[in-house]
Amino acid sequence: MSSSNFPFWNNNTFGIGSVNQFNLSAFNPYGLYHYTVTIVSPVFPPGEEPTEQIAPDVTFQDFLTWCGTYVDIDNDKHALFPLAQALLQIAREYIDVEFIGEESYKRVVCLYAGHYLEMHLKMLKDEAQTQSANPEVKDKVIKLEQPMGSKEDFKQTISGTMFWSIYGSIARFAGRDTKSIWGAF
Amino acid sequence: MRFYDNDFLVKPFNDDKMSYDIEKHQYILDLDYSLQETGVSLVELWGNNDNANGILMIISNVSYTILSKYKDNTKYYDRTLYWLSHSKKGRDFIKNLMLDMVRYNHEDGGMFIAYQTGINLQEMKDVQVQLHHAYSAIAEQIMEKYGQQARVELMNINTMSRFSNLNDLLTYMLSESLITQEQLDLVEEIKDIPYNYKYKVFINAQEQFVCEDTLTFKKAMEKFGVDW
Repeated sequence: MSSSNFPFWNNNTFGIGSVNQFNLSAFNPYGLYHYTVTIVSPVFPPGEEPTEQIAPDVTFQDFLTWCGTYVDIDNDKHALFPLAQALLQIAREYIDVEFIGEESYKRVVCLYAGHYLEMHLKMLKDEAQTQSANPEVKDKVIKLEQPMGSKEDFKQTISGTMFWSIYGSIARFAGRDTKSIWGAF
Repeated sequence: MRFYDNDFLVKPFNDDKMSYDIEKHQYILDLDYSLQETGVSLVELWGNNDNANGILMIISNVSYTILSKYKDNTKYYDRTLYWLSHSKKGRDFIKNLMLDMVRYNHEDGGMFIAYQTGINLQEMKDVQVQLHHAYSAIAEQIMEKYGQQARVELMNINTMSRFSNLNDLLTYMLSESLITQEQLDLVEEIKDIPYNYKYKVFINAQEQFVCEDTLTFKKAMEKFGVDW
């Protein structure tokens, strides 16, 4: 029995290591052995079925609002448009509205898509020409941070930093029960 | 950079400002138009009309070459050429760039500085001649303004057909033999349309149904150098 198991108002159970430990606690006049718990009546109303939150629709205009630096790609003639659209679709699937709530959902989805769009743009630009048949650029140092496939990647872009500052603080705890947050990575 | 729906030119064309060389896929400035816009008389500077037209040809060559400075040319230069040949905005861009080259050439050697070796054997000195000596600071900004300093070609040059509803899109695809009647009968939503490398269908930001001809550039390259 440890002090952290003391039955506060929000913690109405306490654990014991063994029967011996339980019996020994009888020698302690202030021990939990001497507490009497009386259930007066089952006063709680019957529990309600949890309702599933429906994620709000996120349009391309929402994306342009939250990631304004991509203001020019709303035309389907822009080479990045299909990529942005696909990333938005993926973001809708990965971000759980039950974690973040309806109010912030659109913002988080857009920032997530914006982060990966920026990463893709870096890849497309290929400034060091490592993915080109042309000679690699060696006469000047081009620092490219390599994505590592972890939450640290979000630190590489502005959208990613903003996304993780909102979603990360919630998602880091959300993964401790039956729900998984790995989709966010 | 923004792209406009009515920007596409079916064919590059000649007018009183520029003519199009079909073999090189390059525009060349008209001599009179060049004089009118810049006030620089190339005929006076270079002696006669033939020489002046020769200079305009070199200006065209250099202009198209400096464009390749920023791009990964193994992947994108042909696409850039296609854009310059089939876009009103692209045509406007190359015209402004070449006019600026005419102005630049009026002063202290102009683009021909870039053709110097930079080596003085008598004094054992070696001046590093750079590509940016071939064009002016204004030309640099013109390229930036028209999005031509981008590493990739941001204009999707594929032909897009846009429709206000799904039925019109399906009717078009059927008429173009992109799908069969049997396939069409099974379609209730846009995602039911079968995948194919020949086209891409999606809903754009304006909620229109779009069919993109993904073979546009491939078809264009089959006519490269002959009829573009």
